[in-house]
Amino acid sequence: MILEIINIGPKMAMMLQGDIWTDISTFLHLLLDPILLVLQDVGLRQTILSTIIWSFLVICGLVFVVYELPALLNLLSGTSAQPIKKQQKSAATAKTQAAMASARRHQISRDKAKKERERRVAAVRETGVSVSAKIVRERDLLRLTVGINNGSNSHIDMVVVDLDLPSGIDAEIGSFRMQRLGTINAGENKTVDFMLRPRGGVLTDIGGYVEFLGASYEVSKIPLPVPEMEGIDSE
Amino acid sequence: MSENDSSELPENNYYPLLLAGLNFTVLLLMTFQYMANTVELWDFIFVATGVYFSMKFIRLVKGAHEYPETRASVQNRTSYPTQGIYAQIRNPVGAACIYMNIAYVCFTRSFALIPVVPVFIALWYILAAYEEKILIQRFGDEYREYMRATSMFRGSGLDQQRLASSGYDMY
Repeated sequence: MILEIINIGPKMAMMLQGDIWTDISTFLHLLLDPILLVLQDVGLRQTILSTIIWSFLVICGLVFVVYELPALLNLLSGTSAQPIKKQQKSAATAKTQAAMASARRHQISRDKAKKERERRVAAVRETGVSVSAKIVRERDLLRLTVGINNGSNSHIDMVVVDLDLPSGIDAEIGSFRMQRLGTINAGENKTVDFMLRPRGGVLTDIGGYVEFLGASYEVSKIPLPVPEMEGIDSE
Repeated sequence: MSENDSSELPENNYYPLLLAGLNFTVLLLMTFQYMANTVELWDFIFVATGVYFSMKFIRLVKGAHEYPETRASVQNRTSYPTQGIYAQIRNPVGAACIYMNIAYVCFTRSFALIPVVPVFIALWYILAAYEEKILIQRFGDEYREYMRATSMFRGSGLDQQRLASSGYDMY
């Protein structure tokens, strides 16, 4: 017994020394030849195909008949169509349900928006940052000065002022609608100027926001206040 | 339209039944007459394809009849289903029968069916279009909105289609 086990190694080595592909081929032939032999029988193949085809045709026909049987019986017997009970979901109710669902979604959305606004206002108040805006006329143009006062105890980073201009007021060529102020240290004031060209728009509609990264790395957004007019009538 | 908990729908949607009867009687007779007797590799492939379409037929018919509205004539429907298979396909019975026509071609493996099957597919399309026209007249914009979010016969790629038509969650 021991000798046999020991002899397996040399036997395998001898087999591997020969053509391994011949061995694999022999093995596969042993495995698949009976199947291929059976499938070479044309009659058997025809039987298999016919069985599959007619089984499926009959099953599909039966499925259709079973589901359509009530209507078929109504049609054949000539009786008036039998009503079937169903859970009510009329068009009107569906509409009402859809409207209610929509109203619920809107309410949730409104509540969320309100909470978010309150949270932001509270966060801005905590930051101690205040924003002012002033417009001065300079010949044909307007100079909008946005002042940012960091009244908090820590610096604010990545300060960005972004304007939201109404129609009829454009940024002058060479002046951007968005400007970066970088870092503002605690207690420091920084201002930024925008040159605007009025084309009949309402000045009080000029909006925008100041965005910055607070000490707690929370992004805060403060909306621009309605700009003060110096020597101009708000159109 | 009543506001009760339950309503009654008549089972009188005869057009699909009659059309299916005509369609499959003709195809069955042609199958008896023209089915190929060859049993080569291609025949097995065609039959496998036919099996696939047959399975689709069964799935769609089963899915459609989960909703009683399927068996009610479009003139009598008080609502139209938008759930289940109807969330993807507006005419699952028509789609099922079109797939079964293709399955017949695959099973028969004969050119004789090639000119016949498109005629029946066209008839199923005409029936579906006729039913949709009536449903639009009855339910108006609500049904048009449903049409924008679904396909007449095919149900693939619909998540994207629904997103595109809803206007929500796009940005």
